[in-house]
Amino acid sequence: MNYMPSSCGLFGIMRKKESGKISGSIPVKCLDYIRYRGSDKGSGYASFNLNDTNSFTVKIFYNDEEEKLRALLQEHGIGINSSYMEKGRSIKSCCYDVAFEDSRSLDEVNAVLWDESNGRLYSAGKSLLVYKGVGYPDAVGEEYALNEKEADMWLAHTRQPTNSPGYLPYWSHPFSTFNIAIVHNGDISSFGANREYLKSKGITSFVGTDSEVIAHIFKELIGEYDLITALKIMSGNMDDPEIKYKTRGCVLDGPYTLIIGYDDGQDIYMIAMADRTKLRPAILGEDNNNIFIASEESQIRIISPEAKIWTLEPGSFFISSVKNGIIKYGRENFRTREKVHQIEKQGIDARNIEYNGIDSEIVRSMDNSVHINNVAGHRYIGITLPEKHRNVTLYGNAGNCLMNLNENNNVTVRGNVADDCCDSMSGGILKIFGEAGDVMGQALSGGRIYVDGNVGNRACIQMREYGSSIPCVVVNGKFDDYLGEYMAGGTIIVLSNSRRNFGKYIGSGMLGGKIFIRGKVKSQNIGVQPSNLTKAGMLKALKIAGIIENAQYNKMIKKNFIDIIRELPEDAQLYARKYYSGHQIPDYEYRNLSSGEKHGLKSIIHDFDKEMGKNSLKYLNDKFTVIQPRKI
Amino acid sequence: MNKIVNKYIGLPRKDVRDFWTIEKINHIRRLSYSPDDIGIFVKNTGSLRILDRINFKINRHITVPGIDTSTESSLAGFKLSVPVYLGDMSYGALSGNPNIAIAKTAEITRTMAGTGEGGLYKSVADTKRIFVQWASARFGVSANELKSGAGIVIKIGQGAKPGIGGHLPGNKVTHDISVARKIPEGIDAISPAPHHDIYSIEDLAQRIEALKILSGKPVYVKVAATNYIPYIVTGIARSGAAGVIIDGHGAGTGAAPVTVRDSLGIPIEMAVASSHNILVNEGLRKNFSIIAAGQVADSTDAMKLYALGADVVSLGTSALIAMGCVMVRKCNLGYCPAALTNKADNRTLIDLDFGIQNTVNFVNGFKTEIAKMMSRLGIKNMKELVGNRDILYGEGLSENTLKVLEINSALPQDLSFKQGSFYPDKKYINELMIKGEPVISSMGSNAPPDVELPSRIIDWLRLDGAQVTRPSIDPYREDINLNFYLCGGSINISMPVFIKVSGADVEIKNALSWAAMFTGTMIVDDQLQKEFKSISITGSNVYRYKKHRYSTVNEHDYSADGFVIRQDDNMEISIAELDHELKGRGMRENYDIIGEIDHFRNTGDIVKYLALGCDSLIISYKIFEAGLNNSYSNLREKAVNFLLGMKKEISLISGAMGIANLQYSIVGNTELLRAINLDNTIAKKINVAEAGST
Repeated sequence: MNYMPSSCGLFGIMRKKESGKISGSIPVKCLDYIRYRGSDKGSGYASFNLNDTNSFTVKIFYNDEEEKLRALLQEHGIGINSSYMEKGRSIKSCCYDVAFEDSRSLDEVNAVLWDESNGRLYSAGKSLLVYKGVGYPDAVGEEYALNEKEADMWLAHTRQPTNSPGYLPYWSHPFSTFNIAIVHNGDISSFGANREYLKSKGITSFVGTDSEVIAHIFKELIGEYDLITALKIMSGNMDDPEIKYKTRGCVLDGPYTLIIGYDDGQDIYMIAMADRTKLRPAILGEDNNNIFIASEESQIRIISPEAKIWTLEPGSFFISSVKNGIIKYGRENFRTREKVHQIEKQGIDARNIEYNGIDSEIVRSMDNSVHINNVAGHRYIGITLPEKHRNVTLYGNAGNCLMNLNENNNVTVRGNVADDCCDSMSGGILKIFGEAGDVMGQALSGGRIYVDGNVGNRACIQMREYGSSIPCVVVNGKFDDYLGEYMAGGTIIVLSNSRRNFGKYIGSGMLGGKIFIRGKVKSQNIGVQPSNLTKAGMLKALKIAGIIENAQYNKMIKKNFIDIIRELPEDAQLYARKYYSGHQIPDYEYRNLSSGEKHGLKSIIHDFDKEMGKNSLKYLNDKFTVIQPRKI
Repeated sequence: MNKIVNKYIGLPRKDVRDFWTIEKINHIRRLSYSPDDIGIFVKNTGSLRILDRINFKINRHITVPGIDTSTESSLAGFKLSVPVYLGDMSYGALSGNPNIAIAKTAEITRTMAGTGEGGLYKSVADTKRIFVQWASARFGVSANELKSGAGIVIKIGQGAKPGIGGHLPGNKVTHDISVARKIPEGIDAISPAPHHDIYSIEDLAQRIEALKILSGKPVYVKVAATNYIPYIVTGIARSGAAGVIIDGHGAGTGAAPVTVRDSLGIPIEMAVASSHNILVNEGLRKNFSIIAAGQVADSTDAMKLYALGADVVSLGTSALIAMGCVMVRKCNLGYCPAALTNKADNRTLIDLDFGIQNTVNFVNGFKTEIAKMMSRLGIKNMKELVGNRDILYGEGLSENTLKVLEINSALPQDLSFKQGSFYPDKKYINELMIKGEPVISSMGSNAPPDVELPSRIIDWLRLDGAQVTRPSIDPYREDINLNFYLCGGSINISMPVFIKVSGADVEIKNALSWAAMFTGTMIVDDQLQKEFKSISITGSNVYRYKKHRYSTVNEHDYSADGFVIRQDDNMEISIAELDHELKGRGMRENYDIIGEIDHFRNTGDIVKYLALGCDSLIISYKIFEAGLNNSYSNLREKAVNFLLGMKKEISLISGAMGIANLQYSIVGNTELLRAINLDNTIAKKINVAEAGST
């Protein structure tokens, strides 16, 4: 079986120690809210319940006579204590309470079932029960009557498969191994290498999806290392060379967000993990009772409007457990996302409007100024009216692709904005009083974006000037990686003090425009610089060749590449330049603004203050890190 | 004063194998002079290209002069006189007049044209039969522009360079280009490798929906033919697109890194057949168009592609040839002798009428040829033709290949993998060491096995390109990690390549040793090096690093830290077998498998060896020496350029495959490889699936 990619949406919820169990209707509701991310081809859930029993439950989709299955289990040393059946529209599942010596026997049973095309063992554990089927999230929830069930933790997943096995429940998520369940959004480029690693460990039966392989990799690692180490290895953050070498088949590469549910026998864990550039969405949250992981903010807001919400930092992981609550937040020094500003005002109520239907309401309204309340993840707002001159105010959380291609509209968001807002915008203003997601202002060629909170990855990527149009972005919070990537014009101003934790690879590939960041940015975070290994080799070679002196070498070896290239003699630059011929390392200075710059920024900041109700002009007297293209 | 080009220029002599043979070019030229001068059922005898090994079952007894054939078809609500799409060459890649000629030709011949990602040039905007493009750099887009064509193409990838973005140097961004693309004049125009709003299928579905809501027009998605093409195409079909443009390996381009162009992507015939099959099986084929692009040289190629499942074929390079392209492959340099791909500064122009007339004649002649062939085959209309495998048979195609093509009436046949001798590409290696940058060329690939004769097993293999389900990564602007940990973690090199310097002249040895240090890798020498980090070879052919030891003998000495496998005809199989053996024993992670080579075609080979199971490669100084052309000046700089150029190229391939950390993803990951009609016994031994297989 080849590897089969698919697309999807996720949800995870865990109760806090003092809170009651969570009804199965909750994950169904929160998953169904983003059903447009998946399809009717497959949805699934996993529940975990702390318990002290010594028996295990296995669940098997099986097409043949049950007697044969019982015999097969017994053959592999799995004793059956009791049994029940689950039958539904898309499923027929044999469920057994069993006892066994070694969980490897489950893999052996699966290999036999798969070879005979008879079925699949898809759930096994002390506290874990997987419910998956073919259909939209609500249909599968109904099939298993999940509203009658409750649990300490639920994981949920809806998918859009690429080919027909999607019609069978085997390929629905979650995927599980013993006591572990995984839901995942993404496509692992290391899939083949990871699967080869597992084969060398004797695991040979795969249906052909990422999640399944990840579940097995996690199980292998957790057998050998502690939880944090296992996650560091999987996410490529292991530093120890020996472990790194040994586990080189266990690292996940490619875009992914995954939720791992795991019972270690004492406690139940909910873990979220994102790839190093967080190419898939991962929203985290908590309120007094529960902890959440979601693909979209609205999934959490619909059941907990006041929840504290933040996003997972690229390349990091989040850990919580029923007994200990949140153990790792997955982001350092964060400020949580603004909750929805619910202002009582006459306006359009978005609650009964389809996820893609806001525009027609705006068009229908004859008013030049439109207010829309209860926006919750609605997408493509403004895409049919770029050339109009409307004033639109959104209360709530705008979904993906807000104000794409905008030319003249003036939009205010009292809440947060998801990914891809203002793509290809050439005019108008967007004011965000909450936070913005990833890839804000891509190819922005005119107009202004003001953000009170933080922005995600790749803000202002490919921002450019054209003719007399000079776009401008002001961010009051902080930013994740690749700010101003490929920037070819315009101005980015970041007002929050850079002592806070900022993103990496600022201004990589920058060809025009300027980035102003208040305070001193760590120079290793500017551009994409060669690794320390490469840097050390380069300096050592230059020393041996007599191009740099010993003393220079000793000084430079401690510095970042971007700072070394300023100091290299001309004949060394000849060689060093080869490392940034792709404009991957912009130039930077940390200094007071020139009078010309102050003058230029003053009018922008003045407007920002006026529109956003801020008082930021005073910052112009502070020192800024000024980043601009390097002349090559 | 403008210089006007208004006639064909003479064809240069060719001393290397080229897909675009003199015969192919002359066929197009004859059609352009006179649409009646036709050539049907053209046979390219001796060619190893799969499409050339597929032929028609022509029943000699049926001559059906009276049969009423229609070549008509439809696309995006427009009737086509013949299912031809002239795409997708941008303004910028072409110099303006050719863009107009193509758009006008589509109007006159009632076909369709794709504008590429350069915005709309002047009167192109007034034509109706165009697909406008939404590409990763958003060049020239506005709500108005997106509504102005018959449809919108989301360009994800192209066959000439899967997973690679575009780069138009600042000096080519003239005033006119800057206006059309809406970008600043004189500054490099860069297209990111992926769309940064599309990292997955659901992201693609989101963008399709957004563009449909915006424009009310059908949306098509253009992708390169890569490993997962059948799944990608079903994903596209489920996402609400009206069709897909699949661009095969070898498709033309204005500029592409040679190593990516030659090493990535699968033939269009395999991609079309498998995409058609999976769509039929999934019930998604109806109302969804497959447009096949890449190396469609003549109407015979087109007929075969229709029969394999293409609704429409795309003509790009052949349209340029009709306008006078002589295939000198200098598009990237900006001085095209035929004034097609030159810098858009209006100094040299192709005569617009000349361009239109020839292209119109060519398309009309192409249509006549299609009609004649349909008539000979007794096929009345396109509906009867598309996906009709019954009229095809194959010669010299393996069982796996026939299975993907779903051509049943043929006996499978495995070809010997050694069809010719290996010749190093000295020009490529020389350019690498002069520039220290990836070697760039233009127009389509001539890589084996399709064009150049394969001499080694890896010549029959291609690498994957990431698209739609995961994004490719731009290696110039983003962080791609090529550091490899080896030897239990005690060796850390900046790329999976050691340089073997033993036996080299002292000057070359010194230069390469220094360059290895400069770039963060290591040398292999028969003497213990004090100054440079090295692996030393001792008398009995044992490779040592500190207390560690690599075995070169064939018996597997498990007390060693790893194994060195030297290049021979069976190297690929030896690697795979050793990898398999170690995995079977559950101890693969404790050992390095190092391949040692003294020649390569280009850096793509290195990545293929890694995917087959090597942890790293040792490459001989001889490769470097061969590229020197006996010029021994600036050796140190050349050595640095050579190694850094290789590193950048490996990085390009890694990024194109969507791999951020090469070591973790590539070693033994044969999922990232596909075989092109390779001997099935060998394919099984090295565990590589056939191109287009599901």
